[in-house]
Amino acid sequence: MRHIKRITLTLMIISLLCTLPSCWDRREVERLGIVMTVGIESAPGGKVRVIVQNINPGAIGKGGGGGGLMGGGGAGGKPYRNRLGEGNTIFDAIRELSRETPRQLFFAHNQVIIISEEMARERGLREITDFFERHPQIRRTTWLLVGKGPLSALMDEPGRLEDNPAQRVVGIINERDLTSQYAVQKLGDFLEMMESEGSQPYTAVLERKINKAAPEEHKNRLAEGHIAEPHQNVQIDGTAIFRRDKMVGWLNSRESRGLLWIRGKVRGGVIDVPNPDQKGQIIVLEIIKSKTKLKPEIKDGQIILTADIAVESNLGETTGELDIVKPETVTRLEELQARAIQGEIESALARAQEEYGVDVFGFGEALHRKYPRQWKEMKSRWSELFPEVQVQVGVKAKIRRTGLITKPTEPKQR
Amino acid sequence: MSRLTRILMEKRNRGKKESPKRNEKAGSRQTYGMEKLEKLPVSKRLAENLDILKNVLGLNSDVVFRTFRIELANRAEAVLVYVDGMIEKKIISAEIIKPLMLESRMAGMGCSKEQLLDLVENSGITASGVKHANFMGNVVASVLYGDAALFVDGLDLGLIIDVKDWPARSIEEPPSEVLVRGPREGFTETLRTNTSLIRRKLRTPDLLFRDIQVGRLTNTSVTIAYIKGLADPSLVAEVISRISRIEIDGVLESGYLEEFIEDSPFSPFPQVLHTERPDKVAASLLEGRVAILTDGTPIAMVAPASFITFMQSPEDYYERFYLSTAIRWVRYIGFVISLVLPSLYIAITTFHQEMIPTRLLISLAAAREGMPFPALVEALLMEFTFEALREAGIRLPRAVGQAVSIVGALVIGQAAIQANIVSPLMVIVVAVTGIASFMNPAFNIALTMRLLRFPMMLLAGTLGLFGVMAGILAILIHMAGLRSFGIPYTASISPLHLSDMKDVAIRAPWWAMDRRPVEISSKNRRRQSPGLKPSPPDTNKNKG
Repeated sequence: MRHIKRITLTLMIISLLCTLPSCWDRREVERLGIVMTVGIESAPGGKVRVIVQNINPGAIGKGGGGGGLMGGGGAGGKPYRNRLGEGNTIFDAIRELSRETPRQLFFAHNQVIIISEEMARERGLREITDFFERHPQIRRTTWLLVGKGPLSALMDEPGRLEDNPAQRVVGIINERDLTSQYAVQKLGDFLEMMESEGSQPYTAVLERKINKAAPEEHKNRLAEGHIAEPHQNVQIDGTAIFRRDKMVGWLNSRESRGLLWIRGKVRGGVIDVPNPDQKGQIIVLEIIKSKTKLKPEIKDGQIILTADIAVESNLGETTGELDIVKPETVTRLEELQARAIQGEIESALARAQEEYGVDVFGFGEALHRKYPRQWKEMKSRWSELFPEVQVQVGVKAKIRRTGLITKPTEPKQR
Repeated sequence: MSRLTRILMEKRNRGKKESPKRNEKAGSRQTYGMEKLEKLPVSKRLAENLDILKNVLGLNSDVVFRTFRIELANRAEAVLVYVDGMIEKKIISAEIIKPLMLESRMAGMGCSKEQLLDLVENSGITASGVKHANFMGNVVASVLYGDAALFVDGLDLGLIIDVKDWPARSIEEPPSEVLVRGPREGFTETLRTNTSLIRRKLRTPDLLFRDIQVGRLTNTSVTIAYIKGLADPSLVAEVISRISRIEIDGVLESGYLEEFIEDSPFSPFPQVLHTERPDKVAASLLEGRVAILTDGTPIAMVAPASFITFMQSPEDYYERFYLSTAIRWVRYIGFVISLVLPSLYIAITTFHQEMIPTRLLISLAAAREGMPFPALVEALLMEFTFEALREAGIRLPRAVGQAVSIVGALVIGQAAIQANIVSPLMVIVVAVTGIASFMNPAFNIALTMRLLRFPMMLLAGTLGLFGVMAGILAILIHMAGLRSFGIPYTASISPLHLSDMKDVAIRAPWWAMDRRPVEISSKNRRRQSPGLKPSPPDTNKNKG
């Protein structure tokens, strides 16, 4: 009997223990407002404006592929919802949002954080990063982007292939190695760079562009059931560079790749070189891998950085004749490619060193690693020293494969 | 009609006239008088014996008292007692009554009373099995087990003649343990048949069967089988002592015994292995385990059992080892799935949404849009439906049962989704869990998982993954402390024996599995000589 009493008591205690604190943080999936994108703009009066992009699961499940975005559809037709809140801080603004959001905002799957260019340039990121670091739901792997123009427009550009704009942006970023023409950062990496003394942060810029694939005539008359192409699209264009937390400048595609070469982050992309066999024609080389070695040196007070870059590429396309079978041609192409890469790097260096004077390349970090003692004196005036740094670029290019054919098909003369 | 019979008839009639009170008393004596009968010697006087027997068995309509006269020693009166329906009538008439009644006549009437026993036993009865019984208890027990008891006036013993033959199921394929490759025979309800099935596989004098009678009223024979020299003598002694300890009025199935001989009676885990397969029993005996066969059930028990033994199917050892290893791992995974999949689903979808890949979360959210119940309730609902369907499918007649389970599953699953009561993912989870729980070769441990799944789901629904982990840890701690006949339940894994891994982590080919499990047969570990790996003939040598 005592046995049974003891067991009953234990069971009762366990079951009560379960119910006492039970479910306090329980949240059902369908009660979540899953946030895919957070956009942050500055608002007048030192306030911030937060736009969150919620997915609308109902529309995704039943929409039959989630198409039909342009038409707006009825209720539940749009697979995402943007909501805007304003407050003194981000958290303020988000809590403000809960007054109009029927579901608890859930940030753990947030894919992209977009900071408006205005905010980044004028007020800096210092006042907003704390929230993202402190909030347990925000991941450090979230992509951080600078958005051009009003974010409400940027975040409401409907995609066709993806369910919501955030997924489209992530999709674009995931394929960044196809061009390597912009340098994008994850939130965590960006914050680390911001904190570093020997490096300045940078990240890619998101902007709207007119979709030329949408025919003008469709604007007015549409066949029934026809879903028109959106007239606007989003794209990532170039790289925003920062001094500490404030955006100071912008690198175009070519300069961005120059930055990536020095950072050793080029994993793909194409390079145009002049055709050595036929003047005026172009050869396109496809980068397959690259490796960068950064060697700092201090010689007579002059800081010299040597960037050794080894590139491997494939022949991608040629206009005009090309006799790739000849080893001389290959060597010549490799030289041309090296020169093209050097040009890209130099343009980036020129922009960063001469125009903006911000060390986005991480030269300071490289120096810190090799000359820790000297760096201590240097770091306080690094922004003055950086423009004077002499950079020597050495590129070793190698062409591996030539594709399926050796000689292009020639139209024969009759 | 003989004089004796007439007297007997009168006696019986008198008995009928007796008050019901006395009848009850007689009944009670019949029921609880076995201890007294054990010590009651068989009398020299037939009438006295008959009186006792009539008192004990006489009320039974199926007990037959056949009186006849043996043509020996002055026409000795004799009575044959047997239970109708449990005997072979041909043997009774042709091999007992006929020789004694007719053929003994040739031996002449003149033989003395002293010669009577010898003549009856050795010259008269032609049936094969004849034993002596000196006490009435023996006689009654034998008669009730299907033997015939012969009493001859003037002999102070009963002759127990083996004439057992009752309708019994023939040997069939064991329905609960079907194999693709392997013997197709399974145990039956008859103990002798079962022991013979084992004996046929292990033709060694070292295979021992020891009988114990259990059950005050059922007198069920329980046979303990082991191989001398392989099974630890202390284990055998332990099994025998645990079974002899049992004092219960009836044993109808081995499950009765199981609950008496377990080490931890409150554990949800089975501590003895069940099987219907003689080959599985034989294999266990060869590892040094002990089998317990119970009369009246085709389910044999094997002890000691460790957790791993429940995961091993006989087919593992018959199929090629690559496949067996892979299948075994599928089974391990299935075991875990059958325990934790619904609780993981509940925990992750209600507490840890950040763990789900984004796209899955979106489709999950889309699927759960508009669901009326929280995931826990939904899971409990579906699991309950599944268990109900399963139970209904088992209990109904086979033809109807299948239809019910298929139609029920389809209709309930499909309709529930369309009515937006449960999400499709939940149905998938429940279905996968169900399939995983069917994967187990041992039905009893699958039942344990089936049962433990529900507290796990509640834990997941209240405490999330923390609860799931707490539940798993509690189960693991419990398992680590469990013993089966003194052998650790988690044997081979904890305590870890690397040589046992050949039959745990993988199923090594037979030529490599040269040792028996450590914990079971520590004294006689070698199964076969090493170095038996086959190789092709040396072709160079042949050429030379």
